[in-house]
Order: sequence, then structure tokens, then C-alpha cells
Amino acid sequence: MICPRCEYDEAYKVFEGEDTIWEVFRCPRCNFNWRSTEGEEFTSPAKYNTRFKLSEKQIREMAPKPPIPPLKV
Amino acid sequence: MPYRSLRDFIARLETEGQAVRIKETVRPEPDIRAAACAAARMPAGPALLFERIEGYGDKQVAMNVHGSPQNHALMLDLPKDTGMKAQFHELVRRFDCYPVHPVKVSDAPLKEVIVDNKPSLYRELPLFRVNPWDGGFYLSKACVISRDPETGENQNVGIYRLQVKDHDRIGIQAAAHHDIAVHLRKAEELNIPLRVAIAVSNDPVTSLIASTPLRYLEDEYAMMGAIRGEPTEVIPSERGNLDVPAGAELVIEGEIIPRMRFVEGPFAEFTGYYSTCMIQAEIKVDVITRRRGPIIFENLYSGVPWTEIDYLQALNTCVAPFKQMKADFPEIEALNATYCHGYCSIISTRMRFGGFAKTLALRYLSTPHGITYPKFIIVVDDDIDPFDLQQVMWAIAVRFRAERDLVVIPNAPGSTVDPAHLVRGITTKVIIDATKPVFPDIPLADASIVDIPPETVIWAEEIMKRRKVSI
Ligand SMILES: [Zn+2]
Repeated sequence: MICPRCEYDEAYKVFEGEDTIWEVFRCPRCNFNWRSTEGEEFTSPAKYNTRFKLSEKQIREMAPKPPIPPLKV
Repeated sequence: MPYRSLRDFIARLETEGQAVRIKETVRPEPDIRAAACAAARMPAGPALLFERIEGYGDKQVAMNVHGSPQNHALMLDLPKDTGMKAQFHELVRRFDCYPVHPVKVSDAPLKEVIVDNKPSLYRELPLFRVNPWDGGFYLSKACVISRDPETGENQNVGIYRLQVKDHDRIGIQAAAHHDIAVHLRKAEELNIPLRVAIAVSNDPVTSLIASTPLRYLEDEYAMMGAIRGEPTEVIPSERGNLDVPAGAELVIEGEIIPRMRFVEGPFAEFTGYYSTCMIQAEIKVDVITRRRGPIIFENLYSGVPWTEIDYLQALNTCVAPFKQMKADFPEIEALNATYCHGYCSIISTRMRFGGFAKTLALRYLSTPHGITYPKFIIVVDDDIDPFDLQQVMWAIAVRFRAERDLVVIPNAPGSTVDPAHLVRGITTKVIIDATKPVFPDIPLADASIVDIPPETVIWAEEIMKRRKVSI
């Protein structure tokens, strides 16, 4: 499964609703979660809102919040 | 009577016509967000209880529980038509009853079911995406409890945005100015996990105080008691040494993984804008305790104001800076910091002498809340209700003289989530002094205000009576 947001190809199903009425997927790289019933603009990598897409580079360059403090010795 | 749980409060809201049950099956997306947005935007918006959510069995969702002045008044056990200014003064009065310490109980419904073998957030909660471009399913109204890991003291209860990322993983936003960030920093300096408990679906005062900017050493549970008028009940967590609200529906326990950050967000914030994606701390969940079903999952819709957050994080935001200012300047009458967490704020005051409005505005900017959040401050006289914008705009219209009463302070500290920033965390502060000039300032040329006829109050009642008959 390809993540609609960052297009990582190891996204996978984590859960399903009663009678499999929907399924929830997660991306282990960008942590995006989505439900199969949300509509193509949320589930399709080609149709996901470009303003909210994430690239590997963007993820690599993200600042930590809060910053990690130095270890106390 | 103080409410012991969310269920108690929903029952009261229902008797007052301030809660609506949705019995039909709704979709997790987009139905819940759309209905919650609608409820918050209508006058006297009710709480919503969704009884059937597609795919989630008998699990229920509650939204907009604090989402109107009426619900806020009922939370405080005041008549539901109590105005905002009166609610503000009542809240100030009750803050002065602090501390009313919590009592520990040994049993509560939230201990009926204990899931400590592979707990799954997806299985236990009817999760849904709050806003379309949120990075996942958020717990937007849950209370996070933690302690200083060095001393085991200074227990804190706060509402932070929580993103469910996996069965047992939750992203947490611990911004540097949040109390939990102090606990996290100490734990990370020692490279040890920080134990946390997350209480979901609480009595309304618990959520109110968890979202109130108290001082670091102030005890949220003792403040809840002060607001409730009787001690709040807490029960020990399963692991670690935390007190959790005994009235909660469900408690998630776990630990923040030290010195690691993971992709989190975006999330639609109180500003009505999405925040950016960042790498943030993450909680590893190890036990969930809950009521036997059906569970009610309370969550919060945030979007373009007015939404529930503008009622929940509103009067409580005003009280702390008001009290800090009042200690120095007893002339201050009220503070309305309800617009985007105080980005726009209105101070009403009596005037000690000419120019005094500027003194008060600058004092506000030096309170802990005032340092960053406020960027547009209006000061009005005590004949103006700062919670009534018609009156405030009248004061600006007739009392404000731009050449003397406009103050601009560039390059000042600002909120980091203000979408209008040029440099994140830096803003320009504006003070609008809309008070009547008093000695030794030059008085207004036309200083005679038209009296409101004293019989107006009587007539207003009469007119309302006749109106009710005709309806
Ligand atoms: Zn992804």
C-alpha cells in the first residue's frame, strides 16, 4: 500500500470496522493514518492535496519540537 | 451540584435543552466534524451525542460539550442565560477558593475493564479525523497527567494535542511553554521515559482547568476543587504514581519515549489555520482502563472561530492575567481574552489618571500569558462591558484619538502558531486606548453622554413578556 501523503510504499492496514465496513491504514514513515471510506482525495497518492503532501526531504529536515536537551552527566 | 462525570453533565444539559442525541448512524468522516462545527456556530449551540458511528458498534461520541455560553454557564452550575461578564467574575471569585485538594477513591467505573495485553487505541475508541488535512485521528480534548520525574512532585494536568499513530503509539505536542515540557526535558536530560496517563471524556471542570494556564507549581486538581465547590475525586493509575480523574470514561497509560521525535501533524489549531508538520515526542501505550461499554468518546472540533475551543479556552484564559494585573492595579474591571486565546484582548478599567490605559495594557503584556499571545489590545472604560462588542466598538468610535491613543510596539514576542507572523515567535503589538481622556489629559470636546432612560429595564421586561405571549 502506498501512503497518499508521502508515497512511501510500505504503508499497511492496521484496523478494520465492524463487518469490514472500512479499513484504517497507517504509514510507518510519516505516521499518516487514513480510512478507506474518506474519499479519493484522502486515499489516493495522485489526488492528495499537494499543499499537505510530504517528501522524504521535508521529513528529514523537520525541526524537533521540543528540542532534545543535552544529557545530564 | 458539581458533576462527577461527563455523563452527569450530559444528563443536565439534556434537561436544559442543551444537548442533542443523534440516533441515526453517522459516518466517522465527515459527519462528526460537520455536525460539531454546525453546533458550535449556532446561538446557544448544544452538545451532540452520536449514538451510532458506522463501523464502531455501540461506541458513542460526544462533541461540543462546552460549546456555547449556555453550556459554559451550566458547567459552573449557573443559570444558563448568565452573561459572559458575570461568568467571568464568578470564575474569578472561585479561583480565590484555591486550593480545594482532591480526595483519593479506591474504586471507579474506569477500572471496570483493564486492557494490559496489547492495548489498541483503534479498538478501544471510535476515532475519527477532526479536520480534513489533519495528519491522523486526534484526541483533541484528553487530559494528560504527568509528574516531575526528578522529584515525583508537581503533578500536572494539561490538554495537549494527541495524534493516534498506531495501536499503541500517540504523538504529543509538548510546546516549550507547556508544563509537561518541563517534565519531559528533565526526563530526557536523564534519558528516562516520562510516565503519563491520558484521561478521556471527563467532567466539564476537569477539561476547563486542564486548559487553563496555571502557574507551574499550582495544582490543577486543587483548582478543579475550587471551581467545583467540592473536592474532585482521583484514583491511582495502574502503573507509575499518577492520580487520574475518577470520573473519566477511559484512561490510557504509557510513557514518553526519551530523546526521540517522530513526524506529527498537521492539526487544525485554535487559530482556524493548520499548523505545520514537525517531529514531536511520542507515547508508547502499555495499559488502557475503561468503563464497561458503551464508551462515550468526547472530542473537540477546532476550526475557524467560533468553535468549541473558543468557549473552553476562553474565560479561563482571562482569569489568570486579570488577577495578576488586579494585584498591582485594582482599577481593572474585567479582561476579555477570548479571541484566539487572547490574540485580540479587551481590558475594561477605571482610570487613575490620564494615560493610565497605556499602563494597564503594558502590564498585561508583562503577564505570563500576555508576553506572547496578545497582539491587539483595546482598553475601554468601566462603563463598557468588554464582552459586548457593540459597546467596545462604540467606545472606539467615539473615544479613540489615533494621534494620541495608538501605540505600536514592533519586534515583540508573539505566539508561535500565529499565521500572520513574519518571523515565527515575533509579532507587533498594538494598543488602542479607547478610554475617555481624564486629567491631566485634554478631555473630549463633547463630553456629555446621553443617558439611557432609567425605565428602559422595566420596559425591556414588559416587552419580553408580551413577545412570549405572541410566540
Ligand atoms: Zn506517509
